[in-house]
Amino acid sequence: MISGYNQRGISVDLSSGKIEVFPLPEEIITNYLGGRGWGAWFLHEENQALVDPLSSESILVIASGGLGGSVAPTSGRFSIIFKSPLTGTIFSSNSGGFWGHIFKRTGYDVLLIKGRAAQPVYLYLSEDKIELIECPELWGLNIPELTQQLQAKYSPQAKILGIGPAGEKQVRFASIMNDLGRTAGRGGGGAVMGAKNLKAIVVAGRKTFPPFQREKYQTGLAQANKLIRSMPVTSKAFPLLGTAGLVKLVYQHDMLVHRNFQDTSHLPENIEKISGETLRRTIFRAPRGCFNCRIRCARLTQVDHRQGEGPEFETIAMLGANLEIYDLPTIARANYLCNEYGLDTISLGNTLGAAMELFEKGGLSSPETGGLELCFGAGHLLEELVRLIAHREGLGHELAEGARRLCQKYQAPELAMVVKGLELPAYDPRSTLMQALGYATSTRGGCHLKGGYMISLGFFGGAREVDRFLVETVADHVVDEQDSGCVADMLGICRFAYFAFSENELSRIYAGFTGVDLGPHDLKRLARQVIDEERRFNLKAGLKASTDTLPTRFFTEKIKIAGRQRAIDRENQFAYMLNKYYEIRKWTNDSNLKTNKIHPK
Amino acid sequence: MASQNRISQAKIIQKIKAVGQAMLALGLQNTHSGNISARWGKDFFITKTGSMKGHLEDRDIILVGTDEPRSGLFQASSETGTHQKILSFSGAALHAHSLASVLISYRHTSLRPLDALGKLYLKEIPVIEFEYPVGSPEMERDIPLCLQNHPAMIVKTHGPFTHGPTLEEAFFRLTVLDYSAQILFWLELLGTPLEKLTELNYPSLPEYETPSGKLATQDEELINQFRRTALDVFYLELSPFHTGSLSVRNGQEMLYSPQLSTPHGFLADQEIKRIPLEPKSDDYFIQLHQAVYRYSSAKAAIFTHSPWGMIQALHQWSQGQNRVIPADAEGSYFYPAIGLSSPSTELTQIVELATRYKMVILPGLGVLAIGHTPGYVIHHVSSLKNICFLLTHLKVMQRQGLVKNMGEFLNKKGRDW
Ligand code: SF4
Repeated sequence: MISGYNQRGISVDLSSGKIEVFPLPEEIITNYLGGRGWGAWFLHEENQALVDPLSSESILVIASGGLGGSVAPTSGRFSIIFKSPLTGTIFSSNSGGFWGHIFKRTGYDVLLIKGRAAQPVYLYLSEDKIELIECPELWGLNIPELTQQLQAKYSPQAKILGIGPAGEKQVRFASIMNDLGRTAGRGGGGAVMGAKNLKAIVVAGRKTFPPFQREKYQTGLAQANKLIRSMPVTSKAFPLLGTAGLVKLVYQHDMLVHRNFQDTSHLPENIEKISGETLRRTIFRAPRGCFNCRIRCARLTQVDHRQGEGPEFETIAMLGANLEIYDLPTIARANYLCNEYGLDTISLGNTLGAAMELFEKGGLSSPETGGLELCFGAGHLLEELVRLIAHREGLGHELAEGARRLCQKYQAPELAMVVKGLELPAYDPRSTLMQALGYATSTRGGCHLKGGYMISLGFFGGAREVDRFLVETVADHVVDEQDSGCVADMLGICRFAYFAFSENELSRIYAGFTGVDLGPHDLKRLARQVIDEERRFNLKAGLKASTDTLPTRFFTEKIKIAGRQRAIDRENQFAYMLNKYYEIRKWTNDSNLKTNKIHPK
Repeated sequence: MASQNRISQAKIIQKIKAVGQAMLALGLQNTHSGNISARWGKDFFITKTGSMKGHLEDRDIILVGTDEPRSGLFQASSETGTHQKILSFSGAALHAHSLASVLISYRHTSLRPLDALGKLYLKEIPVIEFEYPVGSPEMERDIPLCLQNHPAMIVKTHGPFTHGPTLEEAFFRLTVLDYSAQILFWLELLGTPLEKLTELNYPSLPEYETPSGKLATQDEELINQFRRTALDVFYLELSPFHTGSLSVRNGQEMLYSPQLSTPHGFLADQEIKRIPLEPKSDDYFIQLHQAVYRYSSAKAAIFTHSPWGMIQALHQWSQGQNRVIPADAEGSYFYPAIGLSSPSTELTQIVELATRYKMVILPGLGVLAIGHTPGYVIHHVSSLKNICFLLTHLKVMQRQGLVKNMGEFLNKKGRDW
């Protein structure tokens, strides 16, 4: 018996209404740990590579992290894993808040959602009840309305995860929201839920998990907490400024996207208007945090009479800097709407950027936009565009397909700033070669986090900092950071906690909590196997190694970065790093991959 | 106003870089440790976390708010909170890993300097123990509180924090502290009866002042001589930062440089004054240089607070000796013996001893060397460092039984020179 786990999961077939509790084999626990690891395993086991993600054959895995149920700092995170309707890849998306922690305390570690309900339904889950409830009356509600109604029915302590109208309409970048403002944002998990007619999952649990070895657990926790309290990024920068504090810094490193990645030059006075410092002085009301997190990077803000969470750095960058909308209230209002409708702000900002470039270059004309003058800087249109997309109305129907499909439709695929169909976030890859490689190789496409969160090493990694324009040795760093990110995703730990501690502390906490004694290197090794598993899934789904690349713009269009005109040299820089990366991961560039998969008996 | 700000901002950044290099050169840091901060209006600059202090670039120096948080916090050092609080009442703060201070912290609850500089400028330096002695909230709370009443403090097993109205003064205090710690540490290792040193009376010394950069001469050759000497004094660790003095005689006046010990990055601040030999100045060091030219035919004089010189001089003094006798060939060749004189001795007698021995050590205070040129006199004080370094280690070797009798290595002529 392994401590700290329930060792069982639930499978819910929405088509038949059948609910099954199944045991979770020990080797799956100890080899995949939880969260993203289990997602990779279940999606493989359930043969998901070739299914249509929006069909009844697809499954959605919701998995608590290996440290879920513990009091490890930031350990309330959980993962949702599915085949993405946006990218066609395996997609692991995680979220914080409190839902994941309470889910684990219902007595189950993992939830598999299969099939498609004939009517809108929601799932209720507690220690003594699992129930599927039809809810046509909830269909169409936005996230605050949904949360309010379900909490009124159950209790204010019940935790609600659900989709808004965007998920119902299967917007390809619809997010899954929980605890009102927290989100498993990327990849279109909301659309998968919508396609299944699953509106929400309510959890209420109180189970506790005594640690296997209290002393070891406590010393690990003490060390991790001490580091969080002592590192300025986790004790000061994020708590005081939130992620928005990165706006200026990313700008100063010529990395902050602009006009659909055409360049990274902004007027300093414009940056001042959208900086974390300005946010703090103007619309900030209070910090907010996820379960057991003293970093508390989230922001409660207020614009006019509306309050809501955000905007985070990525939102400010993608809806603001990228679109030339340098106005925090405008960005915040659009952000509130995205939270209400359930939309990923990164993909949204990126897709709008593509649409605006298309429009300005004549690829998209006024009749096609329904008369909207879709120019960069059109802040007055932002809220309306969010509404149109979330409801798939007018131009919104095409924008809801994401940047790749939009640009393909208008015969300008080169304007889609995507990798494997996932819209790139706020960092121009020409400004940090590590980030470029991270985008290209992330198993879920153009993502800064799964790509390794390389910007942190690029300019606020302390002694670990790696030169932004280094080519040699970079692949090793990218692999290492991606593996670390995967460890965090498997254990259900926030990536930001890694600014303070890492696998050293986590392995001790995990061993103390569960009795499974894995060293830091073991954790990384397991993470690497999960990334291999994800790669294997993608290859099976039909993706080729040729998708491990970047939009052409980054190779051909030079922009001024760090005092010089720079683009990424496709041969001498990018291909070199990529081949090194394959070499380290033992992936071959013709897409084969060695198998060392673990099978339960 | 904006351009004024830019100029002083550039200057502060340049000085932080220079302090970083200087700290590395003195071994006060490893390549990445420690941090340097300086106030700039309502905000302050601090070195980036994990930056290499010997190779700081503009991007390694981060602007952080004292009242309002700024994005620089993402890159700032792990001791930022402590610096922020110190800078609410001071102009600059330094944290270093002075090894001598750490050694002192293992067995003392405070550092009580034996040397004149430490006694005068630092008085008693508290050693504070923390459960978590790196970047902890307790440090952030207690260190600034302590520094409100002290120019410096030492975190037990970790290293000192110093502060001052300017970056220069904070660095001056740090080097004085490090040298005081070295002196005490070695004297304890030599088994010196420290109580015998309490009777030493030091003259009153001038307050610390940042040199103005004013040059009372246009003679580039002379300026270069002074600069070379200043650099050597600093990098050979012959005197703490901005301490020591150098003069050359020029008729009835002297060209005189106070706050001599200077690393790269601060040379533009070095000052050369033109001072008549009469009347007697109120400044002890100027008086000393004036006396050299009044009572000897020397053309140049240097005074430094050489820590190795102080260790040997204080040790010998505690043994009732009035001279240091070299134990190495080079030292013995040039200096059969070096005279010691109480720091409270009349200046005429000090100069007389210096004339006889080329240099004279005033235990706990410093060493005066006289001669023909700046190059000539710095040779004396740099030799003294080697002589005293060897003697000190030889004594420890003797205490460890590694050599039987160090007396056999001492210059035979030295005993009655
Ligand atoms: S750092 Fe921010 S996102 Fe991460 S757990 Fe804490 S509050 Fe949540």
